[in-house]
Amino acid sequence: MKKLASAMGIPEDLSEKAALLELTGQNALRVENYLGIIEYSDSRLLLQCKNCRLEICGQHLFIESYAREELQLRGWIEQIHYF
Amino acid sequence: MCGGSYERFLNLCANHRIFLWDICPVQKGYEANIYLQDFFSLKPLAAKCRTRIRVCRKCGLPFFLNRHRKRKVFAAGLFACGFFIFFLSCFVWNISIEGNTSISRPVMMEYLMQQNIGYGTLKRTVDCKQLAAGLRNDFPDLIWVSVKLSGTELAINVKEHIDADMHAAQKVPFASDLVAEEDGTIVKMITREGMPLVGEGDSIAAGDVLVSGEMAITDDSENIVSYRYCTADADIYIKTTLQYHDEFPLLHDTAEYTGKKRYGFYIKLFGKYLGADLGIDTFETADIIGKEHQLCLLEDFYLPFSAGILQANEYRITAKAYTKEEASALAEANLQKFLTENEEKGVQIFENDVRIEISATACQADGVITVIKKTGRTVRTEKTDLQQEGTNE
Repeated sequence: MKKLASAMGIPEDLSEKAALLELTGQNALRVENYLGIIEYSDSRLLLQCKNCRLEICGQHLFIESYAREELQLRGWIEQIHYF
Repeated sequence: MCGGSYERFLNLCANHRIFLWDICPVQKGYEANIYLQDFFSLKPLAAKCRTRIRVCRKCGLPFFLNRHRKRKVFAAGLFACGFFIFFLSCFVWNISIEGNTSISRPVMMEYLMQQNIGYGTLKRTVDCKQLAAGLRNDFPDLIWVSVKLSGTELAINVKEHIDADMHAAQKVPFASDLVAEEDGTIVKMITREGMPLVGEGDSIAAGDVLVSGEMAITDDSENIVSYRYCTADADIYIKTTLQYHDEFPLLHDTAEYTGKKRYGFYIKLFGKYLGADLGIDTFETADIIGKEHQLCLLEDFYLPFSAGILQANEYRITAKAYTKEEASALAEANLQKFLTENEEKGVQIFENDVRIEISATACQADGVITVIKKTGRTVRTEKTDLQQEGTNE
């Protein structure tokens, strides 16, 4: 299935529901294709994605908007981990 | 929100399509913004997660109105203000005229006053199309006129004839000759239409017909059988002379600013001035510079309230005499200005024979300037009394 989607040129964020991150400088992050928030504080945001967990560490983090489709995070972003 | 599982609560909100924004962690929970209609559907979600919700602040028009529901006078004032602005929006409070150069703003304003259009005119009484047509008819120099009402502003845009040749080159609807406007000698002549009666090198006098719009048609024995009429058209350049005279006394008055300034302020309401001149008229002689600003709510929503500032700069008039060098330089500058003005009109300066003489009391510049200029004035052709055939009038 993965090979078929790849052969058809379908991007992985559509076929695999892979997390899509758009980072603007070090201050803004937009995340799509996530399942939910596991943990949230002003220095850490842990998101559950389909295939992995995503950890965003930083300072003064706050969620600018939160909806089912996308999440917009602002603050000083220092690290992004996948595990 | 506090207590229970916050993250689960946030995820439930997202899954139930409840939009949250500006979610910020605080000491014992989170603070977030939510729409009023979504707030009422939070209760079952909060119960499921054992989360408690507390309203910190209410923003928006419904809450504002509810909070100020007892302030009836304030509401009445707001309503009266809105009505007053609506009332003012029915009138013209600013007239902008753009594109005019030879027709000055006061002339245009006087014309508008004659048409009963001015400051404070009811907007619905202004017929833009009729006004534009009237302007085009009454000012022949206007080749394009646009009138529009925008907000409380009447915007008039015009375009004038600025090129004299353009005016001259217009086709006249009748047979015409070109006649000389002044005496001179023809140096160049290109005829496009009509019968040339003179040639290069000929001396002409003012009023002489240079190109005739009447062309004789002859038979084989050279008898005139008919006349063909046309609009004579030619470029005729003549060498002619211009008399130049300039004279000014050496003793003259000059204004010297003392450096003293006074300021005055005024307010203009509905065209009436309410001023505090603050002794601005106490100077015997002064230049007064004014700056006015009209209140404008939006780009073109002018209101009949203006405020202005006046600045009076005192000066003293003292009598001075030009030195010979100064007088000579001034006379030379005046001559150069005269020559430049003529060159801007398309006149070519061929020879300049002006002498500057300075006496004990005055400076005088006299002389003759030889120029090459275009000539030819259109006049109606006097038709010869003969049976005419093939006219192209």
